[in-house]
Amino acid sequence: MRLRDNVAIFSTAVAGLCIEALLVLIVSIEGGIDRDRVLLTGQAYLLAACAATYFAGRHFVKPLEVILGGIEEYSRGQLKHRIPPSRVKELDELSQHLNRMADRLHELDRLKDDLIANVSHELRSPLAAIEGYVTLLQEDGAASAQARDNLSRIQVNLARLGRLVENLLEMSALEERGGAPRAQPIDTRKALDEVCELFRLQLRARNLALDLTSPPGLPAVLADPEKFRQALINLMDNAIKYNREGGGVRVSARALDGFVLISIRDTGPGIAAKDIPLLFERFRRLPHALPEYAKVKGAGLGLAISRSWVRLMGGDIVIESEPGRGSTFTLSLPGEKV
Amino acid sequence: MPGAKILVIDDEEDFHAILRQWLEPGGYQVVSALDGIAGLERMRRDAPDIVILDVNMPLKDGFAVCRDIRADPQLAGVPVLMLTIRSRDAEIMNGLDGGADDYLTKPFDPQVLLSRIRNLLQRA
Repeated sequence: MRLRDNVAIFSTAVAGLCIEALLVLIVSIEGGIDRDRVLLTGQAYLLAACAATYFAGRHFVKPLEVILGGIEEYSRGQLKHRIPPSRVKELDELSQHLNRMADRLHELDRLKDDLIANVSHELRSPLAAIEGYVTLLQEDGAASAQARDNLSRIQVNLARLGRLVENLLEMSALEERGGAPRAQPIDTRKALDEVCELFRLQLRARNLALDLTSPPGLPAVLADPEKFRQALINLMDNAIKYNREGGGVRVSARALDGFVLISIRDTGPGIAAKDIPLLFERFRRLPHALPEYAKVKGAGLGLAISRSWVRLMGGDIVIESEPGRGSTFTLSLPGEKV
Repeated sequence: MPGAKILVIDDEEDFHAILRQWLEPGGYQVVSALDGIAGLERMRRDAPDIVILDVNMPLKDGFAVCRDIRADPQLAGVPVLMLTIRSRDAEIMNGLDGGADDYLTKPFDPQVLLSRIRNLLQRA
C-alpha cells in the first residue's frame, strides 16, 4: 500500500468522525434535545477522532523508525546491516536504496583496505633494497664523515618509513582477520618490567621519573604476547612523548572482575574530553596539540591498532584525561582464572 | 667454507647486486637466477652448495621452488635459506614446513646473513 493511500484513508476517517460530531450537534439543537447530552456525544466523537489520528500516526511512523534504526546502524559503521522490507511502497523503495548504498560503501571500504595492503606490500621490497645499499655504503671505509652522517640520517628516515609500512600492513591484517589472536597466559608484572626496561634511556633523556607498582599475586593476562607487548610499548611511548620535562610516568596494574587493568598515567598537557574519541581514529593526530609536540613524528596509527588488537582479545583501552592534569590510559585484558 | 657456490634466486635484481657485494668479498662464488623455474635449472646445472631463495616471485614462488628441490633426489640435499619480506609467522612456518632450512626477513643484517650461511654450510 502507498503511504498517500494510508494517509488518505485515515484522514477521511478522521474528517468523517468530526463531521459526524458536528452533525450530531446540529441535529440535536434542531430537535431540541438535551444540550448537555449533545455536547457529550460530540465530545465522544471528537475523542474518537483524536484517538484514531494518534494510532494512525503511530502506525505510519513505525516503518520509518525501522529505517531510522537502520541508518543509525550504518552511521555506526555496521554496513552489513540490512533494513527489512516494508509493506509501504515508498518506504520499501527507500529501504532498498539505503541497503544498496550501504553495500556500495562496504565495497569501497574493502577496496580502500585492499589498496592500503597492496601499496604497503609493494613498498617493502624497494625499501629493503635501499636499506641494503645504505648498509653497503656505510661499510665503505672511504666515505667522509659528512657522508657517513648523511647515510645515518637516511637510515633513520628509512626506519621511520619502514615502521609506517609495517603499521599499514598491521592494519590490513586487522581488517582481514576474522577471529581473535591466539591468547596465552602472560606474567603481567614480568611483561611490564620488560617494557619499562626498554624505555629506561628515553625516560632518562627526558628526565622523567618512572613509578611501577603492582600488587602481589596479580593474575596473568590472557593475550597474544606480541600484540600485548606492542600495545604496552605504544602506550609507554605516548606517555613519554607527550609529557613535560621533569615530569613522570606512573604505571600501575590491578585485578578487577576477572580482568587485569594496566594504567599508564603521564604528566603531559592532558586532552579535552571532545578530543578523546579522535585519538583512536586512524591517521588522526590531534589538531589542537600543543606546539611543543609538533616535532613528535607519527602517522596516528599506533593507538588505533593497539586498541583494535586489544578489543579482539576481549579487552579495551580507555582514556581519562583533563587539560592541564595529565592523562591516564588504561588497558584491560582478561586475566587468567586461578 | 671459502669458495662455496651460492645460488641466489630472487626476481629483484637489486638483491642480487646487494648480496653479491656482501658475499663475494667473503670468498663466496655467487650465481643468480631471476625466477623460480630458472632457479631450478641453474641448480641442476651449477650444483650450488647453498641456495638463497626469495618467496615472492612470478612464475613459481619460493615455497613451490622449495618443495620441488626437496622432491628431486639430485637437489634434495642442498641447504635452502629463505629470504622473505613477509614476516608473518604463518608464512615463515609455511616456508620451514615446505623444506627450507632457515629463513631471514628483508631488510636483513648482513652479518646475520653471513653467519646463517656459514652455519648451513657446516651442517650440510
